[in-house]
Amino acid sequence: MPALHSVEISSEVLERARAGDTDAHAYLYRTLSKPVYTLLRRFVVRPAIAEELLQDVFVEILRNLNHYSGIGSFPGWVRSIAVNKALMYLRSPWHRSLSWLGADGIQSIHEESVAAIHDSFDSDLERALAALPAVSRAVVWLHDVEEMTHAEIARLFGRTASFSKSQLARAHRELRDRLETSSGGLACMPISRNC
Amino acid sequence: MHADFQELLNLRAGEPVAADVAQHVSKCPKCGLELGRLQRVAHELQQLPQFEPPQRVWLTVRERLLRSAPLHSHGGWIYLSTAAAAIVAIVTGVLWTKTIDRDNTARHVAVVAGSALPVNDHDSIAPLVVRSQELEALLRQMPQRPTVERAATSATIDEIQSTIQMLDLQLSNSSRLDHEEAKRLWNTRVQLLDSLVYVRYAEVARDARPINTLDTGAI
Repeated sequence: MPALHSVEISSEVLERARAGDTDAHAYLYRTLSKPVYTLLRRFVVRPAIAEELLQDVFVEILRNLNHYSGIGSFPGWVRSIAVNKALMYLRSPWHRSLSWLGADGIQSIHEESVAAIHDSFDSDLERALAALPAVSRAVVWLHDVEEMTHAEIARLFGRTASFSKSQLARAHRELRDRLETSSGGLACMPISRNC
Repeated sequence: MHADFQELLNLRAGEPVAADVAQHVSKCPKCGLELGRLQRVAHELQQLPQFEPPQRVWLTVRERLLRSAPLHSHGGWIYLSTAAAAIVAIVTGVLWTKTIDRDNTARHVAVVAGSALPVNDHDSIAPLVVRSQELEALLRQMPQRPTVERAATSATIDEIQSTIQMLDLQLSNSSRLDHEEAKRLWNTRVQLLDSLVYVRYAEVARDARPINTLDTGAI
């Protein structure tokens, strides 16, 4: 599955899009919408919210193409806009009304009514991922799929690299526990300083 | 002492870990297994299928961009003109390349085209509005779109309809339009509706033909 960072957009297309060429706009949408939507769905899980965010992301991108400085990849710039939109939603009063602020981030209690959404996923891994707290899920996706470094993730969240590392470890621990439970395996932790 | 998650994740990412931890993991079957499992999970996450965004998202994005564009800017006119020209070109292409039942279609199309052409000659908007209504009435009388249709035809029809929707959005702000701008919008609307009628007639004609003559032109 091509992640956002691996999408290639030529400078010629970008120039045309900047000049207001609607074909170039459509091309950018066709090329980037799927990975952006996938990223948003992994962040917020609920399809209707992800659709709204996708709209917002592309309206912002196409309106602000002249603000892309050319430093760093264009898909990287798009990704930072998408992540910011998703994080703004996760920090919003609407979402926070379903959440409580934990010691190291927002821990979702209801987490997007996951029970109903879980049924739509094909694999145990997708279900386990969707059941993670929002921040852990976002971090594991950015690190393991988008291949961002802890320093880059920390910048997006306005936190430290240690925060990103601890969220990633936490996410993988929970993923393992959930996958073991779903496959009927032992729930004990085989690797621990205490075992 | 086994490696903890943080250390294993650091090892997986090729980041530095204490030498004794790295040495332990290289020899410990449990830690090796766990490291392999973490690598597999990352790989499986990367292989998860992508989600397909619904088509309506792009239509909404375009609509929002159009709405936010200044009404009097050249960009807006260029966009609409380009869209209309592109659609007319597509429609022309579709009609020329498809082996449709031309005799049957031409009889119907002549009715439409014959009265649509003179719209440019009028100064007033009223005839354009009337012509729009006539074409819309004609479209309403046509049979439903087939449940299975060619992708190119379907895309053309959707494109025309969405462009008409965008025009309607601008026309709904008619209090902000001067006469010339409103006339240009209505003119474009009539042309698009006209194209839509052409495509729909071609589709109906093709749909009504016997299967063995569909693509060969035989009989």
